[in-house]
Amino acid sequence: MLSMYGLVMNEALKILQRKRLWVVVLILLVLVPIFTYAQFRATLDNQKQLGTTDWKVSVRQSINDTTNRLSSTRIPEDWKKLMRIRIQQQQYYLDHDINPTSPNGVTFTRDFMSNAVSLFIPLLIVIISSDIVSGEHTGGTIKLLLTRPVKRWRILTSKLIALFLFVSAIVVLTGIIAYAISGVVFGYTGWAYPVLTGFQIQGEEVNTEGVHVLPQWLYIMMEYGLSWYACLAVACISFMVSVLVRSTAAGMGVMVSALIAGTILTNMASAWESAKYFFMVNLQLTDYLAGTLPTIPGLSLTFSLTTLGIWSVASLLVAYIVFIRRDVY
Amino acid sequence: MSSQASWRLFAVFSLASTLALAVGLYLGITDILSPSATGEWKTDKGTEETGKPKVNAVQIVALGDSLTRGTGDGAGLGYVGNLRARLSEATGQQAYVLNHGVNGYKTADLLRDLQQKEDIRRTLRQADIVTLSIGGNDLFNAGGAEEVNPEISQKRLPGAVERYKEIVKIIDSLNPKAKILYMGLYNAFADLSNAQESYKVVERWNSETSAVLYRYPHAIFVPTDDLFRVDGKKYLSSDHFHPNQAGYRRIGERMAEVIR
Repeated sequence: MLSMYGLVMNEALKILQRKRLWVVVLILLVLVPIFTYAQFRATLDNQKQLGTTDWKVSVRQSINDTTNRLSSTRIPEDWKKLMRIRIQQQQYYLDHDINPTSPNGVTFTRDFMSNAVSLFIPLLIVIISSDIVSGEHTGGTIKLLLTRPVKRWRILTSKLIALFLFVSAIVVLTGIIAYAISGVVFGYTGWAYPVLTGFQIQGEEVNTEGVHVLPQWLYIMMEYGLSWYACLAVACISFMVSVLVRSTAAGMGVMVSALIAGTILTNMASAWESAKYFFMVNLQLTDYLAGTLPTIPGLSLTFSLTTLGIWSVASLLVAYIVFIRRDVY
Repeated sequence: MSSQASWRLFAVFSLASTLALAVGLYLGITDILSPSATGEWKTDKGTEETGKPKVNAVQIVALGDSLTRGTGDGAGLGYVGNLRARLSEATGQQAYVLNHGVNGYKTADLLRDLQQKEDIRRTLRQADIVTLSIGGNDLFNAGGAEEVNPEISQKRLPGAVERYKEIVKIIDSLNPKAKILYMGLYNAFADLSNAQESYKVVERWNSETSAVLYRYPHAIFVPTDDLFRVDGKKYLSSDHFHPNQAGYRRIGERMAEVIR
């Protein structure tokens, strides 16, 4: 009987041989330079307009712009609330002499994750996870796999562990690639730069009582840890889909559309509170660290963690039950 | 690379990643749920010396209300944008604008900003030209859907002039060299039945603020009321209060004329 170690190694090697990880790395290597360049252009453009590199000037201009947009009658009240909170936070940064967007590779790495956590990184996870079981059907290897004298739950568990290993690797690789590439343009310093966290939102006011400073490296570690949790949840759900749907392409389609539906919902559903029970709208865990207002009312860190946890456990249950009972012809 | 070696490499990398991420997750959750005020406040005072734009450039700092903001201008320039365009055209120098205008600002709001917001004070110290528009909301806009009532406006006027004096004094004390261009009020209510009364308010405000500015050698009152006397509607935007694109252009051109 094969040990669990051997089984996991076997599964990981299968994924490595399918070159899925390289596809993910390649995607990152192509897209990160594009994002870096976009950020670089935005910085240049800002400097050209204001004629100064002083960050305080550009934060003040940003506060002014938002303040003025507030007086527009065409903006929905929910967005105005978000904008007011944004203003208060930026003012807080100004008052405490901390640049919210210090221009360096580390800040880019931080911003990149907070922008990528709800859609981009989950999509990368789906690339790996979508064919982890269904790929065996496509290749016809499922019969070989299931006729071996190994209990089915052990096979599935080894696949799951392998998948989790890949999730960790992808999250960390994303950070490394973002840092390495953006550093060429923005410089590699900034690990110790202070970041403010602990903003608590009560109604329309920002409670700054708990605000404290973290060095940027620690903030990034927390941010990536939270994203990792979201990615594990995506992996579990995608894992279930891979068991249920035998075609890899169809399974991938299901996951991609679910994730994209999440971004659409967060933009639209601020009036529909029950939307918060969908896993897709809970992926933006990094927002709780940054202290931005969740787009759907009723979301909090505990709620999101619990919701994602329940979705993950339920998905795994379904996956195991179906996989163990399934007949293979 | 043999499959054994690549597995080992991968396994070590992902296990290390998993450990780091799990620690991060734990720290993140505890930090969000019970924020502890630890860590020292290392701050960034900003780049004072590079804050000043390159030599051979003109820095315009715009203060005031929606008129400074350019509300109503379809081109999005406002009088400040027009002034900037004319200036760089005429002098061949780059002109930069920092626009601190906020819709609905009254003299009290601007005064508070000038007293309290250190970053605004800093930009003023580095300015070559300061433009200013304020007072219209003090006199004619109480925030609600209020009828234009010249009598109430007359009552509010003395207090607003007092604050106006303070505002100009602060700007001058921060930067005695910069030119201060104040955009005089115009009467946007000339088509209402009480036009005569509202003209009196505008006239009184303009003469009192103009008198304030004469005390400072670099402060200039730029009249705008005459620009809206003939066929005024042509230069007002659809809200019947703010200038439109053509209106702002005329104001910007006039300001550029004044300091050329």
